[in-house]
Amino acid sequence: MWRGAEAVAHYSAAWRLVEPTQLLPASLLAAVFPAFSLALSQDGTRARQLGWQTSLLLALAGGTVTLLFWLSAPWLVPWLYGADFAASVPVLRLLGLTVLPVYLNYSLTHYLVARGQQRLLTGLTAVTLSLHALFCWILIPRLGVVGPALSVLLVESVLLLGCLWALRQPILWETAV
Amino acid sequence: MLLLWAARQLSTADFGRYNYALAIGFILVQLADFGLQLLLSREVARLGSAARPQVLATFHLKLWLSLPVLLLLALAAIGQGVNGLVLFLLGLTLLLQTFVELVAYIFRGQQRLAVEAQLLIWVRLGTAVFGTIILWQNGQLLELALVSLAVMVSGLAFALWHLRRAGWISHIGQLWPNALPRTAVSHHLLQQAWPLGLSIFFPSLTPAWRLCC
Repeated sequence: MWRGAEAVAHYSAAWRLVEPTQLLPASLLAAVFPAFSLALSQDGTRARQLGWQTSLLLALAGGTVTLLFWLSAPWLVPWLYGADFAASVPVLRLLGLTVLPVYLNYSLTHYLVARGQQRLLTGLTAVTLSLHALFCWILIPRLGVVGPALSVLLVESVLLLGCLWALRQPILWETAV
Repeated sequence: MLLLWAARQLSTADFGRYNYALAIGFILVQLADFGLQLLLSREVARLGSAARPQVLATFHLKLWLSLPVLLLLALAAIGQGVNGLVLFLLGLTLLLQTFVELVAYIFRGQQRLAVEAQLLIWVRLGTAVFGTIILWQNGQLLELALVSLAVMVSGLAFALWHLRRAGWISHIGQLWPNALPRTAVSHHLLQQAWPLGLSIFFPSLTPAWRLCC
């Protein structure tokens, strides 16, 4: 909107590379979420163990993907898109940094739902949406195409802290339907 | 793959209309999901086969929630001729897809991911193969929309067959609501689902979108 179609193209080019990596946590959580929900209702210790293992695995995978994007961005972008997309390199590096909190948040947001804390999750989502809008408003005019990528990184970090805080709250067990 | 092929085979304007219809449909069908899928998956995981009332109530709720979606799709399509018809058909396809996904989430809750994989492969591979054939034979946007709908109907039939086979329902008619959703189970489901529904309905840039994928 503020920077025109070229900026959108530079951002989208980087995003198209990062987006498919989210298949990994989505697939893992498809398997873990039911097991975690079941364990939570039967054996709290087992649920905690499963939660830690899953989040640790995702942190390791996310850290690896982040590192790969950081190191490969300077040659990957020109190789895939050509020299015209040089502006996408810093965007890809920043979006690559978001992979670690995104992977962790995949697990943490699912734990919140399993614990019946979806109202808290809605509150966190509203806060992150508002922050994202605010950060974009401030950062895009100053930093250009890097602005929204930095905003995503900040917002995902805020969500990570929010989820960690929410998971420390006691379960209210309002979930029995 | 189908999108890439469609970009090559359709005119630029038709490809734009195809994407526009998919985007409108994607937004509207979120209203018919309302966070119910993930919630039902959790309940099936926790309660096992005792979650049968929740399964039936979720189907009934989803059918009621589909009514405003169909109305909005019809309103968006009216007066736009063939393009409107394409928009309606693709929107209806995406709406039916949410029912296939709901069944997939039930099996996910049971940790029977192989069934979920079968359902998703049926729908996605079917759409890709038949869509490619239609485009190969210089089919137009309307034919592509009709084929997508036909594949989704077959996918839903396959999903309901699995649901019956697994003992969640004894006959398909059970899924059809015969009254407004006023039961205690429906009420509680809605109460649990709305915050999740709001989280999913927020724009896709917000982090909670991952819960619907």
